[in-house]
Amino acid sequence: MKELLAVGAQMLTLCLSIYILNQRRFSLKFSLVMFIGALCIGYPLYILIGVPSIAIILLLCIASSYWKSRGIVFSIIFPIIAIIISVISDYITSGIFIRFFNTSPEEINDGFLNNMYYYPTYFVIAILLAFAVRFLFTRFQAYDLLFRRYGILFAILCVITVVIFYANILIGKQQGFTNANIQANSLLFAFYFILLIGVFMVLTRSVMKEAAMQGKQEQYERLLEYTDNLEMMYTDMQKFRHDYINILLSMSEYIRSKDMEGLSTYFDHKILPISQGMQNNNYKLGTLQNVKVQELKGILSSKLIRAQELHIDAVVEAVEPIEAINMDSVKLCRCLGIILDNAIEEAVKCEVSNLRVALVKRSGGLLIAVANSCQPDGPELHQIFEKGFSTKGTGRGLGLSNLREIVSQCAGVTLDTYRKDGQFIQELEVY
Amino acid sequence: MLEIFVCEDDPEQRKRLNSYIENYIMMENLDMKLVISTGRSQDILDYLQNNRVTGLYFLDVDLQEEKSGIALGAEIRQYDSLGAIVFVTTHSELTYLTFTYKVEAMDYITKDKFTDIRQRVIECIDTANTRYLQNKYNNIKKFQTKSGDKMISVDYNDILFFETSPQLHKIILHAKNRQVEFYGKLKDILEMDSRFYRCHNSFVVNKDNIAEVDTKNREIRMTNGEICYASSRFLGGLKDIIPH
Repeated sequence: MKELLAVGAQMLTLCLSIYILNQRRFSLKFSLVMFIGALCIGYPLYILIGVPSIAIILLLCIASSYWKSRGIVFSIIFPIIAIIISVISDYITSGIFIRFFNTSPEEINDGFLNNMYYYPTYFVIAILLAFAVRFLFTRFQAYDLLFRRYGILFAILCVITVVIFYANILIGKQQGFTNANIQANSLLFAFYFILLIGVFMVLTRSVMKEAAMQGKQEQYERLLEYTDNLEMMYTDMQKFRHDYINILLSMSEYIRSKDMEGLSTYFDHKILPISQGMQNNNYKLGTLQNVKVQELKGILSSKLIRAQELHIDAVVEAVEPIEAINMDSVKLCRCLGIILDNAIEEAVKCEVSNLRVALVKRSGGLLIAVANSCQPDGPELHQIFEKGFSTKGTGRGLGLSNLREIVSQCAGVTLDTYRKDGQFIQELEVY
Repeated sequence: MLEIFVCEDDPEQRKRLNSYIENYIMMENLDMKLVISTGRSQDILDYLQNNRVTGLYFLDVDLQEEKSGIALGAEIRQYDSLGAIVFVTTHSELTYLTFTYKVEAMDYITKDKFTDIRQRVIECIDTANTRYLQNKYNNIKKFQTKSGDKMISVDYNDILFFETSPQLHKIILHAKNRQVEFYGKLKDILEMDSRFYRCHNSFVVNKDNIAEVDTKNREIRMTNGEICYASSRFLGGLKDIIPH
């Protein structure tokens, strides 16, 4: 009975911690199934082989997490963190009981009455820790670079930590715990845990710095592209100025000689083409000069130039000067990047492809509208928002679901997506 | 009657526009009238201040005064929220979306591209007319809510369900061919129409667009295949409504 209670409490905290750490990815029902499974396997195993049974439970948790979420790194990291949490909270609780209630470790192990207080305390501490760790993770999850690069390292670190913890416990079990022993252990473990978090923080900071640098670099390159574009426009302008005088001269010549027919052919052949040239691609980005937010200008120019290279009729409209935008610029650029990439991808497939971006000031804020031509028989709107959906096969198509996720993190930003008259329109409104 | 206004500062072009409009009205015998044709924006605004009208406005974007055509359009909107605004512009296509978002312009006519302006004017009159008649006779009820400056309006028939976003007070409206976010409360939405049903703490579903209810997985499949979730607490209420 005592063992059942001990194993049960441990499994419950374990599964609940995994559930908390995974946030919305798991349903509560799945965690319940996991708990019952872990209990059914864990209890007999614990009776049979004792403490090492936790290794098997751990594998079980990892396997079922992987089966459910398909992300190898996180399905290793989360169960292991859950176990570390459970071990640490066990020590903390022991520490508390020994220090404040003068309970001896034997009493904790044997006295049933104390267990009544012991396990709830243990449970509460574990859950609190799980929430704290989850908070840390959500803080850093935005920087997916961190986990892409150091995920494996982090997983290995976690595995080693668990091995050390349990080696300690096993040795302690064999030699018998004393009060001093446990207190020393608690201190050591707490210290180790703090160290681990410290390392994690330092690592994160360096990665964040690197990401910021990379962002700056990208922005710089985009602006270079934009200046190239401007220079081309300027040369065009100079050419035109040069031609302009010549045109006037020859026209006045026709008029003086009253050669109306000559004038009209001259007009059709020489002047009309020039007016068409004025509507050339370079000029369609001209209004970008009104965008004073560098990051925004950078991403718009680079994506639209790319669209024009793909022979899409791409136009940007910014009638009023835009000095500031009330949204984190990294997030804004990611959102716009996704929207524009999707728009370009879709527009390219159309016979008459166009892409139009408008930046419109409203009394409350700024509206960024992106409209592109789309195929009439495209997929349903809700499908393209689903994770993993893509017209290009599996493994892609995180775009729009990511967009929704980013937008839902930002206060005062709303997204409107609709299809109308052969146009696919996304409106991002920032208040 | 739909009243037509023209604001164009070039007298030649104004005369041309007038003749296109008046000829067409006469030819087709439409219930319309060219009320004001002017070069000064103030004339139109004065008239609007004293009369309640639903109008069709042809506005030049570059007026020879401080106010641009777009600003004029925005002011007209304050008096006539249903009116149809058409911009006449030399900026070809460079500000099309801006027209739409700034003043909900109906259309625009370019002057420079040697387009058949007469044809375009006629098209605009026709569209404005059908729209006017539609508003007058069959009032299709629409779900309307304000989000900042923007008026979101969706046919009730097109609404599938509402979902709360992780961001506080933000709601995502799922409709046929549209997904739009706005700030509001599910509780208020629930009261707007009897078709809406609270099927989950964070979902309100439009009962008319349910294709089937999967009671086992507590999922509601909508007519377009999208899935809306229900909780067991609220599932009971759906059973009486939808035949399985």
